[in-house]
Amino acid sequence: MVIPLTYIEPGVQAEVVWIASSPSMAGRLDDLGFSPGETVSCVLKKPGKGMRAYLVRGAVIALRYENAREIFVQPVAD
Amino acid sequence: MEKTRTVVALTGNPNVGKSTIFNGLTGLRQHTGNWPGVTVTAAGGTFSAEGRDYFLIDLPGVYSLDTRSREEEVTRDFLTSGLANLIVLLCDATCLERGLHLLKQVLSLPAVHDRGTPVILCVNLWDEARKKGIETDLSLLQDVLQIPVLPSCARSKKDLDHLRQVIRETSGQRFCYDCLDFSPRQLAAEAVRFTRPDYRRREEIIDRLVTGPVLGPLIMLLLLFGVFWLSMAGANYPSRLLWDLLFSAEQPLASVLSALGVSPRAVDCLVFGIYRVLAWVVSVMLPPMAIFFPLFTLLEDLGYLPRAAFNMDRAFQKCRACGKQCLTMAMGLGCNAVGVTGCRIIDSPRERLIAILTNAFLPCNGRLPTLFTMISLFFILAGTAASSLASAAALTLLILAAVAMTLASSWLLSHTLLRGLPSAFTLELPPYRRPQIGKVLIRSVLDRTLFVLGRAAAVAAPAGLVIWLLANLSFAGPSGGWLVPAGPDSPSLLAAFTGLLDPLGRLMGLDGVILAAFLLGFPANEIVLPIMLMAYLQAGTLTQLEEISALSGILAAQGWTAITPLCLMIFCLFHWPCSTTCLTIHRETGSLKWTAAAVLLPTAAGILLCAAANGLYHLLGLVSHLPGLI
Repeated sequence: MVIPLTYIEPGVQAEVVWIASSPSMAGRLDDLGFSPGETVSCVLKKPGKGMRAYLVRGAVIALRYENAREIFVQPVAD
Repeated sequence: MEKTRTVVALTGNPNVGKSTIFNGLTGLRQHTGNWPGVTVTAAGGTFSAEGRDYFLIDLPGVYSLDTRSREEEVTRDFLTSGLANLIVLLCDATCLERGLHLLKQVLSLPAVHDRGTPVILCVNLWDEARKKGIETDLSLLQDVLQIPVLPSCARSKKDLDHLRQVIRETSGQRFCYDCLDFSPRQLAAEAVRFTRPDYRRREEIIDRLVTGPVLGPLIMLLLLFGVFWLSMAGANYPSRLLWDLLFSAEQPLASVLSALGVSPRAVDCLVFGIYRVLAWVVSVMLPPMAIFFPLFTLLEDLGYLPRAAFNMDRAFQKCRACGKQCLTMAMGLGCNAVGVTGCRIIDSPRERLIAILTNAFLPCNGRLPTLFTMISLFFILAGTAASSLASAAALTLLILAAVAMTLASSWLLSHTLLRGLPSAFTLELPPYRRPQIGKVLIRSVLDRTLFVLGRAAAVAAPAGLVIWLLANLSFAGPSGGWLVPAGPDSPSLLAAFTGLLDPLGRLMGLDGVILAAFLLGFPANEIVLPIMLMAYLQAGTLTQLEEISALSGILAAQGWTAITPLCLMIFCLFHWPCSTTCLTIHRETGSLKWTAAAVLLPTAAGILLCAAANGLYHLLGLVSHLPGLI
């Protein structure tokens, strides 16, 4: 089941499947570790369409709702 | 031996402590802070190890060498230029993999690979990682990578000495990277062991609190208020002490100068003019600044600022601006020129311009003391006692107003001159780090407080002379010999100048002298208040200032009412940026048009708001109701 990263709740892990962002943003995300095959987990989530933060490669990276929506993931069962 | 210095480049991911290592090695004081993007330009410094001299370059942090922002370009260009004789790649022990990705890119650069430039991998923040139960197998790294690998924690002198020694040993060597191939992900997985899987637990709990929907903004407000309250309440006693000390020296100083044969008029000008104003500046400005800066630096080093940006992002997004503007805004609170340069962390050119144009809305170092003083004056002139809590609340409100104006003008800009939609960006929330209290104290008192004070004093003294000349000379036209001493029939240049500005000043709830002080304070905002005082004092009301509150008497005699300090505060927040900031804006935007916009935008806002506040005040007829105004 592939869903947008925004659907992942804090504390849940997911594996990145594909990135639908613009090339420049996709490149930036790739530098940080948002690339297919990597595991990320949600750390913080503001209500509504606020910012979210994800733990990726040992660092916490915050993204806007609009940007996180373009990252598609598969939840990892614990 | 050789005359040329070995060039050592310091590179790595953002916020891994490059500038701290740089400062440790060179003894310089580059600005450091716990958030990515503190360094946006390269800085250079020298150090020596075992008799050899090295030139160390601190490069802005990068996630990769495929550059996507201006600060990253600096790093890529330098590394590809082949100027570096040796590269120290710093990585964070708590996220090694990311550092290894960068290392792989650096090692495959032709300038590094083909020349065999030695690269040293420095696993930094070693102590922090160990506390979190993260252990790294350095010998494995060294075996696989075949380059020197050493642990470091930037605060330890021993580690710095070790790094120096390794630099000494490797410089001049030629490394071979031909057989090198590694997968950063796999290597990190093999080399790093987590002994405490829940090491992030405490941090996550704190993060959830400080970014909570209700608690987040509340904590933000309380921190701001707390910092201001401590600065104002804590400064009361030292201020009085300094005041008594400096003013008890006034009379002896005058006697000494007289005994040395200085003419009475010169003694008058030097002691009761310049010295008195300087003493006033020192006793009023020094104590609150000496408390405010260390506190603010503590917040910065702790890692709170990115969380504030996280909280405020929604507001910036609604204004179609970048959430990182919150960080440049916080830098503006230190110095607007630094804030404008810091805007390079914003990738989108449109959003960067918005951040640059609105940066001067936040009061810098030089303007905060004016606000501190005006708040106490406001309470005195309004006839109420100025409790430190009320003063701190007033200052917090002012800063909130400044933030609101920043947002409003960002919105305006992105709907008029800089139309566009918000662009994508990422914001890293670094781990909290325990600040080094001692170092913070020394750094903020010496580097910031004394710098601000020194600049104020240095510019205030010549400004005093200019004011004195202006107040004592009169324009007589070509027939009268151009300039003659001012007398009862010939108004002084100062009077003519302030008289010219007076109508506009009155409209804004100020007066000609205040506007003149702001104009003359263009080189440095710190001197606005001293210039104003000198101008008032030169006008003839040279009374003894026995206490700080006695100042209100002088000002009331100049026609000040409760609205004057209020309008002055508004204008202090919103007026043209200082000369240094203007030059920086021109350098960053490369356009006179945008520099002009950056001057006009806050000035227009200030004039409108002051006129509105003044109009409202008179409309409400508060003059007759508030006691103690005249």
